Amino acid sequence: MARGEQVFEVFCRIVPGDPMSHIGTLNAPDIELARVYAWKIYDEEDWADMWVVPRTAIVSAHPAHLPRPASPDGGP
Amino acid sequence: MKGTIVALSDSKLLLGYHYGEWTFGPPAIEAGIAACSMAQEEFGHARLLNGILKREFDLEVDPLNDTRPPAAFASIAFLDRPFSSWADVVAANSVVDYALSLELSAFERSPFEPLAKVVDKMLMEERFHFAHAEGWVRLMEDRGGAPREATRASVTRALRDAAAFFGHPGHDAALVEAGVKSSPDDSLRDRLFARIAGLFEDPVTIGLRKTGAAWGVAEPVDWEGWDGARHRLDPGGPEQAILDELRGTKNVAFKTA
Repeated sequence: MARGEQVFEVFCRIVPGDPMSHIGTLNAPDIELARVYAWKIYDEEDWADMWVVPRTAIVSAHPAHLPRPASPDGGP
Repeated sequence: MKGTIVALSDSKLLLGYHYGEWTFGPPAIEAGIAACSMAQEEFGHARLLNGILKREFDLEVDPLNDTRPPAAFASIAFLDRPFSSWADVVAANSVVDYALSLELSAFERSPFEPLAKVVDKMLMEERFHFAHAEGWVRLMEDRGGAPREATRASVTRALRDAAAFFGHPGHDAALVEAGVKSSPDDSLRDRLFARIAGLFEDPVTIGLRKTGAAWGVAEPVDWEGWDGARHRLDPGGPEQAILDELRGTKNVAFKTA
């Protein structure tokens, strides 16, 4: 990945109203080029919708990724 | 009318060739895929326009059957030679591609239906071309140094050649008066300059100068010698080697029809 680039996740659906599906990732220096690259790279279907999301904007909700309230050894 | 469509088709064919060449060797894999995709779209547009020329004007310019010499081509001069670096791709993408879209947009509601009914589809695809161009101009301006200077130099050349494509003021007055096109080329050229000027922090660095409210090329264009049939000032044409590749000259023996 070139300097200054970030990873974007791409989500699509073919039928309006269907859930969005994750179809891949791409590297781009900013959101504007990410939009272009997403449409050009993942052009195998006649998509009704396509979303591009910076990976850094995605937050895991799994409890394993939540901060521990307290550690067994008494530390933070 | 016929000459304008030939100029659009020839320029889109050459532009598609250059985009295709830059499928490999761009600064990012994603940019190569975008270039390849834009090449397909430009070739598709050229084929649509060639079909109109054949059906409506009995003119054959499909590359596999075309025998015109380089000096008969009506393509924008910036496309005559291989691109020396990514800066040329960015310039063609931002200036040449957008100039062609502006010209097409003038026919969006034209009573000349064969063209009017395909313009919308072409301009829909072109939205991504300009978004790609804007992104890369912005990147190169932010980057500074040699990439920025190379991009500015290429854009300066492209602007002069695109200015020539739009021709001397008033050359298309009859088409505008007849309602065949909605804007004269002179006004389309102003819109091109304004849009490209907006991409640069200082448009003087790309050879533009503001007179009143409008941007224009700083060095005045001498319209003496403008070839209205080819929409060019430059008497040359695309390199023969490029035309040979487009026409599959080395592979004539394998032709199926």
